[in-house]
Amino acid sequence: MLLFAAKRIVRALLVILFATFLVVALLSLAPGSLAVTLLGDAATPESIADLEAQLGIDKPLWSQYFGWLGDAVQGDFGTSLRTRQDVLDAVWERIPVTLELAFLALAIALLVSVPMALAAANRPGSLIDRVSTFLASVGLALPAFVVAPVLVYFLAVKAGVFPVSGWERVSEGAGENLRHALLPAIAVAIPEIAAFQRLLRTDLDSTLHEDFIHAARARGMSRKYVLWRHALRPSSFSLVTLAGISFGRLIGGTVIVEAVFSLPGLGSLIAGSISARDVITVQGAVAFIVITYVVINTLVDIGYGFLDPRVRRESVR
Amino acid sequence: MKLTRRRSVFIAAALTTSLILAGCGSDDSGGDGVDASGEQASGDPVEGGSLTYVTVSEPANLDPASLSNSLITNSVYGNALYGQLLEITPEGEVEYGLLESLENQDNTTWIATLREGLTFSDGTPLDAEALKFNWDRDKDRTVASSQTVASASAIASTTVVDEQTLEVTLAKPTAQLPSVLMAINFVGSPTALAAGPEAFTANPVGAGPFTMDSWSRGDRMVLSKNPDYWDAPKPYLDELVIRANPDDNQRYNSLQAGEVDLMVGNNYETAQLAGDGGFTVLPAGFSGFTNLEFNFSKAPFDDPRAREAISLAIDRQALIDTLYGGAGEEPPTSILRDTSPLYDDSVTFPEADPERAQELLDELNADGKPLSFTISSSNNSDTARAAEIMQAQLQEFENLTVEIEPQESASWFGRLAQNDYEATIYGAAFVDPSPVIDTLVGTGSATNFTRLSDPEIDAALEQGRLSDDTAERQEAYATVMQRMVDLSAMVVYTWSPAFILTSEEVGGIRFYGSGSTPVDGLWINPDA
Repeated sequence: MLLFAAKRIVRALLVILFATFLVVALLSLAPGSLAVTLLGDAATPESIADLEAQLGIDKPLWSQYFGWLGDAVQGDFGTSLRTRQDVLDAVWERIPVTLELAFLALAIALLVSVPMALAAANRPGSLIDRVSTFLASVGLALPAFVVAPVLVYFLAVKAGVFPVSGWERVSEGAGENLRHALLPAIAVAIPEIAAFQRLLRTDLDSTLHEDFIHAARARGMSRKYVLWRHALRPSSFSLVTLAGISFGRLIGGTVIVEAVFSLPGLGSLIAGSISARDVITVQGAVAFIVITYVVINTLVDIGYGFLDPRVRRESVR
Repeated sequence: MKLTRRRSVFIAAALTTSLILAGCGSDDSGGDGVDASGEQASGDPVEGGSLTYVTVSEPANLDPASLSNSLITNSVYGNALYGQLLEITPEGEVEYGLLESLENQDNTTWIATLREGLTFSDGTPLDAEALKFNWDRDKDRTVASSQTVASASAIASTTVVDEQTLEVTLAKPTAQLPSVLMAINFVGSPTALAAGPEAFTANPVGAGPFTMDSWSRGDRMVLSKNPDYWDAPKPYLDELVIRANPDDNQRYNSLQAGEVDLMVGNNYETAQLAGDGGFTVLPAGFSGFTNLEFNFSKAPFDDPRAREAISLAIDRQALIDTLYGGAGEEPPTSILRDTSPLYDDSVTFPEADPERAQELLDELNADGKPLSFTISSSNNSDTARAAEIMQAQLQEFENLTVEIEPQESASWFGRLAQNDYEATIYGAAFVDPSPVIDTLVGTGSATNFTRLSDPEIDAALEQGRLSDDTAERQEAYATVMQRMVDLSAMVVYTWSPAFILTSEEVGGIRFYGSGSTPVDGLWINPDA
């Protein structure tokens, strides 16, 4: 068990190292540099070289990376040369917004998609099934940059139920905070609902054809009871995996929605920093996301064990 | 104020905003497009209250040397924290702020005099020493933006004469120093700046109308009235909240919902909607345009026939109609708006002439040089769309192949600097053509990406720079225009949209430079 844990940790660390290195490498492969950004119109090959030397970004890639890594291990993620802000502070400031958005979106997605899938799987081919599957297809095809403005127009501008944009921190009151978070969360949730619904419906469908379901039905249990008590749990493996991956993806992956609603989240921080070639900020933020992602995936693995004792036994081995 | 400043910040901010920003500055030249509509609140200023201002993007940091001073970039942040040394009004007049006067001795030596008794909000005196400190620091590339450096470099040296007086010696003589100063208009407390850029951005100190209470990046900045502001009883507002959203529609939605009181508009369609919706639409009142630019130093556009062919092939009106859904203004007739005192209607850009364009293209083909080129542009939506529309228009012609290549702004810009392009989409914004037009088409300018070098243009630019006689300068810029037309230097296809949109409760809005918006005079009357 200890060895198993140690292996997982080493693997997680390797993933983190590899991912952060890849980010630096990609940014250095892309044309343009922070110096070009800062110089703007005055960028000539000479002035770029001068400024890169002054900023210390003229060193070879590996040397820059290991310099960063050495500091990062000691908790110093550096200070952005562009924003003049400590990177850890910047990330820390943005995390609550992104986490809340991702969590809310996921909760909404699960609350809506599970009943939808159950209703659909209950009577395959029925009207409910067809409508629910159709809605899911529509949802999958609706990108956030379409959904968000439509939601804003009807629910914020016309109905005035929600604010158009902006963010209130929880410290300003939980009610206000939720009012500002709900609309963006719905916009993020819609494609997730669609994906979850389709996945769970398919899995339910195949579970419902298994022998133990027929056996349960043969013993006179109601369709509904079997669906909830016998079919749902073994059918939710893929859903749990997908939800875990979605959560990881949503952290830092809600750029468009953050831009539309002008939310101070991690996505907008990274997007802005990438276009400005602000390597230090990007590295810090990516390191954070990678760590979160790895932790969540581990939790998801453990989650399987709760759903199915067979996995529990296998993972102990 | 200059093009360059906007550019650098855009690359820095580089989100979804308009890359080429500039202004729409006239109240009557709008053709069937957007006109100024409604009026800002009139009557006496109301003291007190809080106003929420939503702009396009927030600055990367708050260093006075790195803030860009135009409507669509960061002017509101700089004007709130640092106030203005001086302003050039849309009519071309100089209005003094923290500076009491700026006297031209002989075009090379100027005397800048500060008002008496000015202090920064940390108590440090705003004296000649402080001004010198800021302007010297503005040349430091590790803290200053490229535009700040370019403008500050116009100053060769400064000497403190007495507490309020600074003697300024210029690197190159000009009669247009106020125009140069638009980009180095913000000064910060030397004491606070000495603490380093990180500490300064966390706690910026200026002598402006407001001081910063908090800045939650990506969300909002909250500022409160500086009780010691030099121009009492200004500022009228007790509190100013600045938010940023790159999406014009979203800013307008917030205005409609009453969440913000005033917004920066950089889209003709929104401005038209807002005007129809009863909001006040104020054009920012400066000359700013977007253009297709040719690289003179390389094939195929080293051949004047190729430049002329494309200049005549593009239907600018049709382009604008498609680009702005019919809400745009008429295509520019000149690099100057007709509201500028320097505008001359005797020289205008040519109308589209598809037959002549096809003749030239056929001629090039017969010479064994069929025209084929790539428009490199930034991936900013308006710019990339304009390139697409041009490509569609040009596909109608024979013996012509056009590719488009939208790129992420930093890499696009790097390619311009390295002379690795054939044609691109660029722009300029200014209230006075000097020095911006000098940098756009003057020989040897780092941002003259056309790489054109024309002695007549250079001579006229110098005349425009050195003279302070309006008629003489008007003639000089007419010559520049004439040569640009003769050489088919660029296709100036649209004015750039730049507006303030507001409800009728808000008064005291004014513009200076490239649509920079001072906030000391803003007031809000909730009962209006």
